[in-house]
Amino acid sequence: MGLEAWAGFPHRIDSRWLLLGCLTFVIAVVLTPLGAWNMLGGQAVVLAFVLGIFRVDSSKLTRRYLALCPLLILLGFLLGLSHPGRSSLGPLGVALAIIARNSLALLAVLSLGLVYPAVTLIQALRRLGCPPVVVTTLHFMHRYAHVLSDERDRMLVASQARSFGRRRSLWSRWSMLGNLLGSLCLRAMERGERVHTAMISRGWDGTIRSLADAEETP
Amino acid sequence: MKWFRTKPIGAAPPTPSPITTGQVDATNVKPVPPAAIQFLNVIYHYPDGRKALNGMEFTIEAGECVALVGPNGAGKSTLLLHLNGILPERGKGRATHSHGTTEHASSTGEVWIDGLHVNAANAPEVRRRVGLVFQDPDDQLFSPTILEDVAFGPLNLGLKPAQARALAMQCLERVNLAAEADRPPQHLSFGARKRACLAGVLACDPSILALDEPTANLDPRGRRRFIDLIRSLSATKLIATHDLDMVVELCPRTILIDQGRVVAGGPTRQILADEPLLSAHGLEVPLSLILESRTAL
Repeated sequence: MGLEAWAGFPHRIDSRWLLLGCLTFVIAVVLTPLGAWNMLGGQAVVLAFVLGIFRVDSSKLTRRYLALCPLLILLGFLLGLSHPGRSSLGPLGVALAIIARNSLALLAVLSLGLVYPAVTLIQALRRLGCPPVVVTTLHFMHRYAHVLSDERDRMLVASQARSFGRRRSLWSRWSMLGNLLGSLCLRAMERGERVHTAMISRGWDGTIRSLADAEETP
Repeated sequence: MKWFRTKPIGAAPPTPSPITTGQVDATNVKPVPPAAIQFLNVIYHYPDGRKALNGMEFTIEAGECVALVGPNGAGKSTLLLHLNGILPERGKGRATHSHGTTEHASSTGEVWIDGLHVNAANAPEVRRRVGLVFQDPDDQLFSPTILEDVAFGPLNLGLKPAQARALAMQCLERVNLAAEADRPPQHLSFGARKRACLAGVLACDPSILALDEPTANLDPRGRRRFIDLIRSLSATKLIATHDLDMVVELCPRTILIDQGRVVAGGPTRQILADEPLLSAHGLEVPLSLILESRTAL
């Protein structure tokens, strides 16, 4: 096999295998004992190798990772204060070990999202035998996340347009955010009702059917 | 609730239509086809007690293209949702808590579609016959791809996935979207999403098309394309809209509703040229008719 034939090989791998591979990696990382730095280092090398093969966009990956980093750090330090392992490693050591483990798992999952479109991954879940109701819920979340984020943007612009450049206090900003989220929830609920109406009007009886069923049956 | 009193599939509507007059030999009379849509004194209250439909009564014959016009809040969209029994059915099981009280939507009267009484027993067949195109395409396009969405109706009708796929592709070709079949709805333009909605409804092969504000938010090219598409369809059409120029172009008959009641009905040009009537109900004479009358002068 020539080099050209190998060039697109990683992206021809069935998404199910990659999903299972990612899950295995995450479990392996989570099961790694605290303080086993060599093992974590080895796992990091494996992850870096796979990211290289799949040519994952590192800037996108970093941006997404950094967005979730504060949550990882908070979790690490909260657990570090109460974890039984703090007697041997100390609270800081435990916190760092947890942050390292979670970072590897998070990077693996984020990379998977960059290699395959969300729709492909959700289909892979379905083909792995995930219950249809879970798969459909994920599809809906993915589909309407865009619609809701557009609505949020419009509401933000409308709010800014009426703030006349005035600097708001922290309390006022939080209050505005609360109102915005409340309105967004109400709008999402109304949207859900309308989508349900549209489904019923095209004969939906509660059973989830998909074109993918044809491709799976031999 | 009167709405869901059981009537068998195919039971005759209470009043025959069209009405025949004069002396006729009964043996030589062809059986009268039932009206495509018949509303008989339909009254609907929202859960908060507001009356959305207040004795709605009209008939539309098979093959007609009828416009439903009226100001905002006149009851147009509510009426469309009654065509396949969605609103009374939803209202039946719904409870809204307002000021500590529990309220229910209520509905009386009868809706007949192609001679079928719209009730819980007939709902699946009625929903196959009535294709509802919603105002906001994001409400209707919920599947991950356009193809999956168009195939949603056929799959629910019991078609095998391969057949549903073939039918969905045919419908997408009809609305000129075959090339976009595998794209997610959010990646399409508003006009393309509207056409995808229409394809999804056409895939169920309805005999009646109910369109809610079909041209709202479309740019002129998208509007023109959508109007031409609607014109090319042979089904009975009921179009709820504020686009009165489109009404002049597409619909020979217009029904004007306000506050949940039919205010006027008749030939489109006659209704839409009646300035006092339109202005009394929050509408304006369409520009195309004004220009026509100026040219005639």
